[in-house]
Amino acid sequence: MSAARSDAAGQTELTLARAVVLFRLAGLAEFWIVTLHDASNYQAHAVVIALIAAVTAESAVLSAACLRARRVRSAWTIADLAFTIAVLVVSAMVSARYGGLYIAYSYSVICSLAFGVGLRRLSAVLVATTCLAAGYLYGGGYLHADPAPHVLVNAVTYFPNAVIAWAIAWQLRRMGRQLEESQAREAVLARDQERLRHARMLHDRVLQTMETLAQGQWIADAAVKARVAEEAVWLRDLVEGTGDAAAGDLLGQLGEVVARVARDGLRVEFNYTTLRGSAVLETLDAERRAALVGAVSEALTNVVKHAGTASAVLRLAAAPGALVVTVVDQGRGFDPAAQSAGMGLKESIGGRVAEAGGSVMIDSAPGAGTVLEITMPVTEAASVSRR
Amino acid sequence: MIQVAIVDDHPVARRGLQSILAEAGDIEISAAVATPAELGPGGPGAGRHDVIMLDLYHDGDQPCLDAIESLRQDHKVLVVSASGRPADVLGAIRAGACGYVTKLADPPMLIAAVHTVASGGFALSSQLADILQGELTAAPAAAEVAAGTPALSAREEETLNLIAQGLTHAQAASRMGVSRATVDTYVERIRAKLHVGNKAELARAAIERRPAGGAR
Repeated sequence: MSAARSDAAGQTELTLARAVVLFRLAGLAEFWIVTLHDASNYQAHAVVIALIAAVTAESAVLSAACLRARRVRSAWTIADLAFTIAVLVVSAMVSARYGGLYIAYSYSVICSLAFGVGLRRLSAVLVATTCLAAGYLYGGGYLHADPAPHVLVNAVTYFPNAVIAWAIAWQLRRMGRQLEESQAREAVLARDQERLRHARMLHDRVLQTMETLAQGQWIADAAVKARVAEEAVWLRDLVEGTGDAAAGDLLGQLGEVVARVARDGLRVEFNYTTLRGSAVLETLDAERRAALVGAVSEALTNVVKHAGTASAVLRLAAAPGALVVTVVDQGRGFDPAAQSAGMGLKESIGGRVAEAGGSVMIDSAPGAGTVLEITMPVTEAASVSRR
Repeated sequence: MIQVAIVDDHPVARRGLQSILAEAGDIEISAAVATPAELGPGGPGAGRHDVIMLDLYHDGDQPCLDAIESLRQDHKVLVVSASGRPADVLGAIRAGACGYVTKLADPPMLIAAVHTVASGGFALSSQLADILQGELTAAPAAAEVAAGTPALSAREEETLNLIAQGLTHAQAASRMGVSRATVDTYVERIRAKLHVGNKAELARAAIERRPAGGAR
């Protein structure tokens, strides 16, 4: 996923970080102009120079951090808020003592825009703006003793600034996320299409040749033929893999069994058509799954050893409350009543399945093939009607 | 002798089918060509064929439903495919194919399918039986899928279920306690019900064929 991920959200954050830097540069310019314009009113130049130096240094640090990280972090915004309040108070104290302009207000108004961008939640923006307004009321109203109506109007001005900046940033971030999600979906889709195209090509060419070679008398060497048969099963699994047969689940494990007996020359038609998209497999616990895989493995091995046929059908289907697995061959069959033939099958398969709560039915007769049917109960809620 | 024409764009697969069918003794390969067009007048495969074994996919990922529709006018078509999406297989049957076997089927089954189709029957594989059952079983969720298609009777459904397990018609008959001829009749009825499915269904299947979002 991460490889296919685009950087729309990252681009949005960078744009917002640049906006914070620009707000800050504008605020800083205003702070310099107002302070230098009013500098003649101050006697303590050292204090004013220290104030300008502090604001400039803080602005530089914040701007560098934003550009470097390509984003603005909430923690920085909170630290910046504290600093801005400090600037409001200190400059009020300085200017009140020397009777100059209240130099920090216009600076703090521009800073408040950046708080809207830097904080992600509206509640956080409102709290931060309230703190800023309180700092201003203390500095401008109490320390600097500006007229009350002015101070109130100025304090309220912070709110629309910060909230509107927040709303625009929120919208931008949302659009960035949506763009990123849709790009990720497109990438997955394109990858699937490509995978499908490759699978189709392998299927139409290589697999056809291999499956033909695995049958009949084309290859004289039995070991080579078995190898080709096994690889053909593997390739079929690969190109038909629709995510149904993930390794480790029942279909994957049965697929391995099918590949294994292919090595011994048994072709198995593995039919689980009706289970596609059904939830019945997910409710099978590990014990029942292991019992089924063991039983099917045993049954197919039995076909290889005794049935005298080169093919069998393995089919899975959902019945009400149960999963029904059948193994059918058209081989020589046996008399289930005869001890020697029937007992091995009945014991090795039936015993294990019964322990897991299932049942086995064997139907065979000499010369008439063998039908082995395993019924394994599943959780009632998850059983689906046959389709 | 049954005259069988093989249509498969893959030369090795063609050779494979030829050698399997030659084992039967009563089957003669009247043509082995790469495309359905070669069976037409003047083509290398022109002539009389009892059964045409047609590979469902030729050179691409679209099933050759048009070829089935035109070939079925004069021939019995048995579709052979390594595998197929349910919608494609259904489309092939609805387009008029007399059966569907996978290339994985063992030689006796392949030969049996040719015999069944040559004698006018309907050759069903395990997988096809399940696909048809899914299409024709009137479960509530499938009501939309089965629109315009008559539902299966309990016996027909049982027949399909047994064939899906891999049983032959004779074995299914003995399991159900009926005669082999009765099972043949059930299978014939299933085919008839499938063909009642309306044209809109075919159109829908054609739309679903487009490979989008993985082959399911």
